[in-house]
Amino acid sequence: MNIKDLRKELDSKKIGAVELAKHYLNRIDKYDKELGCYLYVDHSMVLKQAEKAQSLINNGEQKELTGIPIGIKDNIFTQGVPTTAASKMLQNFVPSYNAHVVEELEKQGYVMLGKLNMDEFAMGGTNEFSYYKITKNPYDQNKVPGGSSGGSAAAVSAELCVAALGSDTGGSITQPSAFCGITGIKPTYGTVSRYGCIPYADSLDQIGPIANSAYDCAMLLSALSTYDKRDTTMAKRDDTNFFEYIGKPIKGIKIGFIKELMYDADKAINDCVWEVIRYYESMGAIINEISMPNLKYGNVAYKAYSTAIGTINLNKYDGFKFGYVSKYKHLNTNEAIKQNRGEAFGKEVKRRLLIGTYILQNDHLKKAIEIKNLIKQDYNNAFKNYDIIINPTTTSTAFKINSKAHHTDNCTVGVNLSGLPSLSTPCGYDKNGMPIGVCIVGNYFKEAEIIGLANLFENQFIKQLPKL
Amino acid sequence: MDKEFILNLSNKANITLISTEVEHMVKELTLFNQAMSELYYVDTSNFKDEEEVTKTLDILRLRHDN
Repeated sequence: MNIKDLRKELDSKKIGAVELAKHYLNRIDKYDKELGCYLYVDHSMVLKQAEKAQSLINNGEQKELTGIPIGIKDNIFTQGVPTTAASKMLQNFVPSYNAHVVEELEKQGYVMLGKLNMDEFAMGGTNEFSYYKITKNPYDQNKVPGGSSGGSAAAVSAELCVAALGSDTGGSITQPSAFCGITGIKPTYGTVSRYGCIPYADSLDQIGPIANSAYDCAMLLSALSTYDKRDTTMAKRDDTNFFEYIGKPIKGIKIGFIKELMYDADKAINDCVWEVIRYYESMGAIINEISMPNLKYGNVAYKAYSTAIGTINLNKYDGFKFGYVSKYKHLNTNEAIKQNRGEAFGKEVKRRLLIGTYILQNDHLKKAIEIKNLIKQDYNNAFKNYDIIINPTTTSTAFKINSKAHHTDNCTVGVNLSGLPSLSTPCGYDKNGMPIGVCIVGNYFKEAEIIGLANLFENQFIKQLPKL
Repeated sequence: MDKEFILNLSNKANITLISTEVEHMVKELTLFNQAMSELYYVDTSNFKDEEEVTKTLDILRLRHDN
């Protein structure tokens, strides 16, 4: 089910908001013990919100998202509802206020189904690094859903919510969307306020929607992208009609595909992305190969840059200012801080904090920033000649849990380092039936163009839903 | 990279590590350093905005120190 159709059904009273909420709660009860998408669900809270939404509909006061059941990634503050960033460090933390994005969804009268699993502090690309549980891929429960917004992507894919919010630092929306066969968009840096979002690397982090279609993503992004002065990196935008290019012809638009990323990808992925390219060509787009050789350095530069910022951001979790307190008895404050952090952070967070601490001490950070600027420059040059850039979202489909095959950031980190908008939408399946995603990248603030292009492809693509 | 280096680093990062984590980090940081060293072969001189790079570095180090 998608938001667009549900809106019509709710408004015409074919279905009630409470009935819809119960449908999703029943599915969560039935399937989530195995899938592990949710960290927190409160049935009575969901039904109260649904009743309120129904009153709005009955009074004719509904908005686009009134009564729509949505899941929220667990690093986004929800007032009165536990928010842990999937970490032991924040196990009992309950925020006293809402994130800006949650405020905006509440203004719309949405129904929050619950909090969704993720890699601890968004550090990971598999959801194996949640302190609480591993989320499984709905298409094959032996495989990862991707990450860090893996709970969000798996929940949308398994119809345990209509849509979800995720956050993206190096591909954490687009990569799990590709692995789980759904659509996700990382907006231009500065489009959505991060006020109330627990940061990983705030110079890269963006919040964005994960849904069943590009159209649904546009509906959500319209609600989320309101200006908020509490996030000082926000751009004041007056171009947030994300539906502008839906249904428009694409004849004459210039699309470049990045050859290095095409060659890096598995053959099944390469074949599917080629089909997308040929489809756009058949619709009148002008297609050309482009080369961005510096992208191969993006992964290492990203790791250096993001871990350095992550180390700074996570310094405050010491058991005194914020977070977990060890039961161990200590002689002094410094020892207590080390013990609190040593016990509460998981292995991946520790790994990144140590790398970040190392980076902050030497010239590596300077080099990483230079490479970041180089990649940004490459994208800027490419957008002088092209309207859209296309590449596979990942080089492989979802891999087995515990397989340690974590080399899937290569296709996504470049846009994060550059702050560009990107969208992943399903474009095929491998021989095992695992979803494949194509990544559509636009120039700064051109979300409407990539949404329009994705919508065009989605209208003729036949999805294979997961069999639960 | 050796165990002593990692223990010093974990001290600076304010994190206790168990012995298996120390051994694991020796390998991880060695690999990361090797990957990082490849970046120094990339010529960034043509487009390097020294002022912007320095500004970004200063901000991050200031945040870290505070």
